[in-house]
Formats: sequence, structure tokens, C-alpha cells
Amino acid sequence: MNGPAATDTLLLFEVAGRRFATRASAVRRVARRSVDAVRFTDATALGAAGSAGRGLVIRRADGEEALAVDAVHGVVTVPVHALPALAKECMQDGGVAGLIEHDDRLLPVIDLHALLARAARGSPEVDHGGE
Amino acid sequence: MAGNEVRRAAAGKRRTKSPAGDTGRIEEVLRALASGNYEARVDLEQIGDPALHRIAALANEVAAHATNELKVARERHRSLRQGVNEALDAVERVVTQGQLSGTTGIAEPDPALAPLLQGLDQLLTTLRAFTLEMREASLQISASSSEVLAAATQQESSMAEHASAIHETTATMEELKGASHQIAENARTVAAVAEQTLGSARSGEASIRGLLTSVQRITENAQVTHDAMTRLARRVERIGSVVEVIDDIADRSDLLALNAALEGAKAGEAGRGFSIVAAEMRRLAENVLVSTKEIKGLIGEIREATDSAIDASQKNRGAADDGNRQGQSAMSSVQEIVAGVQETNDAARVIHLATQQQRTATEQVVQSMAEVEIATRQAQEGARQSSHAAAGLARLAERLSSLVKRFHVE
Repeated sequence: MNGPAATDTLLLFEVAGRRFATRASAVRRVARRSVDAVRFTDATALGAAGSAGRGLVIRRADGEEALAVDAVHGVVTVPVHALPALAKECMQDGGVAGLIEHDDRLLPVIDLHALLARAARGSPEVDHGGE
Repeated sequence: MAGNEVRRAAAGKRRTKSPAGDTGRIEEVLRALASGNYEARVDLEQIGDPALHRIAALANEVAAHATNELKVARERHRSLRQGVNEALDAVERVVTQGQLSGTTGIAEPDPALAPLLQGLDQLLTTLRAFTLEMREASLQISASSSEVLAAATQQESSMAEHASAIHETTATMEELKGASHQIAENARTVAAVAEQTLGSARSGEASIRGLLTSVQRITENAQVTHDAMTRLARRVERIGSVVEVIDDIADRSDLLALNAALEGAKAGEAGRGFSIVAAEMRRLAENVLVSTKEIKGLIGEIREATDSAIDASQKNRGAADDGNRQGQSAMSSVQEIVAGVQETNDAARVIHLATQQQRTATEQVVQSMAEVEIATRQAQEGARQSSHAAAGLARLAERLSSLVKRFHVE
């Protein structure tokens, strides 16, 4: 990794057995499928959530949308590393916003808006970073 | 010769005719006649005395008459002799040739011989009839003796077979006697075993009755257990429902804590305390979720155990019912066995008594068979002697037949 790392508050979540992070500011709330009327997106480039009972809700132009996740592990404030230039170029529309280190693992910081937009376009490919 | 002498005497006398001489000549002739010279005659010409002449004439007539009578007598004597000889010849033919056919063959027998010849003819007729009867009888005797010989031989053979069969039968009866003894002993043993079996069967009947009582208690206990398990299952279901509520609350709390933490994070430094409280709430909610998950696991295990227990209790109740039915069936069977063993016991006693009687009877039969065997041996010996006698009789009949054949009756 190169470049300066800015500290940010991230929400850690898990989809299909892998852990990811996303900026807490991007998430309006954590929804529960059984009680929230928000639309859930189960299959994305991260994989298909199993018995997804949680959803990370974001605001879109046409309303709210939730990324179905298998679990939400909480909120952390850690430095976020920018992607290497080559990786950023290769990833085109930037579904991954950066990388963090947590519990000795390197986790990709997911751009939920870009991820869900890509899912809505039907493009499943995304780079999971160095994980 | 005597006639010549008479004539010479008469010629000598005629030389002198005197009464004395006449007498003498008559006397001489009479003496000659008396001595058997029936040809002597008085020369009447030599007799001068008239009285003597008449006497001499009478003497000559007497002599002539006697001579005729003698001739007749001699002829008859010849005839008689011939008849007798012919009769003797006939008898000789019978004796030497056995010729019995016909009669004596004498056509005109002397009347004096007629009775003799008639008797002889009658004798021949009688002998012929006897001979014919004897021939017939000898043939019958020969045939009968052959039949007797055959019958005696067959009887001897049969008696030998009978003796052998009786011997074998006696041996078999000896074996039967031993077998009867063994059967009697076995029957006694069977009776004893049947008695023991009867006692065991009655003991088994009591045990099954006790078993049925126990099975009945098991059935009742199984029902109690089943009811308890059913109640327990309902309680567990109730606990599960409560845990579900708790779990749902914990999940909501977790969600609420997450959102609180999220809001706290968005609030920056001002929301730090809020985030700490939210994190603690979330930790508690997670603990509750872990606990409820553990409780759910335990409830699942309890439910499985309860279901297994209910299933087991149902099976136990079914098994108890089966056991009760089987026990009832076993009781019925044992009661039948008891009745059967009782009958067997009675039958064994009867058999024991019967076999003892059979053994006694068999011994008597063996004794009788031994006596029968002796009698049969004696009968066999008698049959053998009968065979010999019949053979001898057959030989005698053959000999008699050959003897009778010597007499010709046709």
C-alpha cells in the first residue's frame, strides 16, 4: 500500500463467508428483512447472502435499498488506505473504495452505492482486493 | 385065465353026471364068482339034476347080472375120475396161473360131481369178484397212499416251516418281551417326567400370572410416563416459544444497538458515549442471542429426547400391550400345556400299567410259544413218520397190485 491513510469510521459486515467494510456514513441504518419494507438485494459482486436477516440500507434517488448481508460485526474507526493506482485503474468504476487492516486481515472497503448500482446493471465482477 | 380054469373044471366034471358032481360044479363056479371071477359060469349041460340045473341057471343069471352091474360101475368110476381130474386141473390153473376167468369147463359132469363142480364154479366166481375188488382196492390204496404220502410230505414240510416260523416267532417274542420290559421302564420314566413337567408347568403358570401382573404395572407406568412426557413436551414447546420471543427481542436489541452505534459514529465525537453504550448493548444482545441459541440447542435436544421418550413410552406401552397379549397367550398355552401334561401324566400311568400287563402277557406268550414249538416238533416227527408209513403203504399197495395182476379175470 502506498499513499497517506485517512482515518474513517467503517461498518464491518460479512457476505458469503467473507468480511468486508463500508463507510458508516454511507449506511443510513441496518435493516431487518422481516420487519423492514425496504428492498433487499441479495446477489452482488460480493456473493449471495445466505439466510440474510440484515441489510445495509442506503439512500438512492428512487428511495432506499438494502444490501443483504449475512452478519454485521459492528463499527470501527481505522485508517483507510487508498487503492494502488494500477488497481484503481483496473477496477474501472471503483466498487472498492479502499483497504483497511483489521484483526491482522486486509479488508476491502466497499462502495455500497457503486456496488448496488453495478448489481442493478447486472455486472457481477468486482475485485476483492488483496484478500 | 380064471375063465379057462372054469371051463377046464366044467369039462372034467362032465365026465361024470351025478348029483354030487353037479353040486360040486355049481359050488366050484360059485367059489370062482366069490373070488371075483365074474366070468365064471355053470355049464348047464353038465348038470343032470333038474333042481340043480335050475339053481345053476339062476346062478349063471346072477353072475351075468353082476357082470353088467360091474361094467356100469366101472364106467361111472371112470367118468367120476375124469371129472375130478378136470376139476383139479382148473384148481391147478388158478393156483399156478391165476386163471380165474370162465368156469371149470366141464360140460356134462357126473351128477355126483355136479355139487362139487358147482361149488368150484361158485368159488371161481367169488374169487374173480374178490380179485376184481382187490384190484380196485389196490388201485385205490395206491392212489390214496400216494395222496397220503404227498400230504404227509407236505405236512412234514409245512410242519418244518411252522416249527421254523414258531422258533422265529418265539425269538421275536423274546425280543418283544425285552422290548416290553424296556417300554414299561420307559413308560414309568415318562410318567415320572410327566409328573415333574406338570409341576413345572403349574409353576410356569404361576410365573406367567405374576408376569402378567408386572406387565400390567408396566403398562400403567408406561401410560404415566407417556402422559408425563407429553406434558413435558408441551412445556418444552412453551419454553421454545418464550425463547423465540427472547431471541427476537435480542435480535431487535442487536439491531437497535447496531443502528445506535452507527448513529453514534455518524455523530462523531459527540456520539462517542452513545456509541459506547450502543456497543455494550450490542454485546449484551449478542450474549443473549448466544444464550438463546444455546437454549434453542438444548430445547432441540430436549425435544428430541422428549420425542424419543414419548416414542419409547409409546413403544413401551405397545410392547407392554404385546407382552400382555403374549402373556395371556402364554397363559392360555401353559394352561393347555398343564391340561395336556395332566392327560399325558394319566396316559403315561395307563401306559405303564398296560405295558406291565403286556410284559406279563408276552411272557405267557413266550411260554406258550415254547410249548407250541415242542408240539410242532412232535407233530413234525409224526408227519415224518406218517410220510414213512405212507411210503411203506404205497410200496405195499404196489406190491398188492402186482400180486392181484397175476390173477386173470377176463
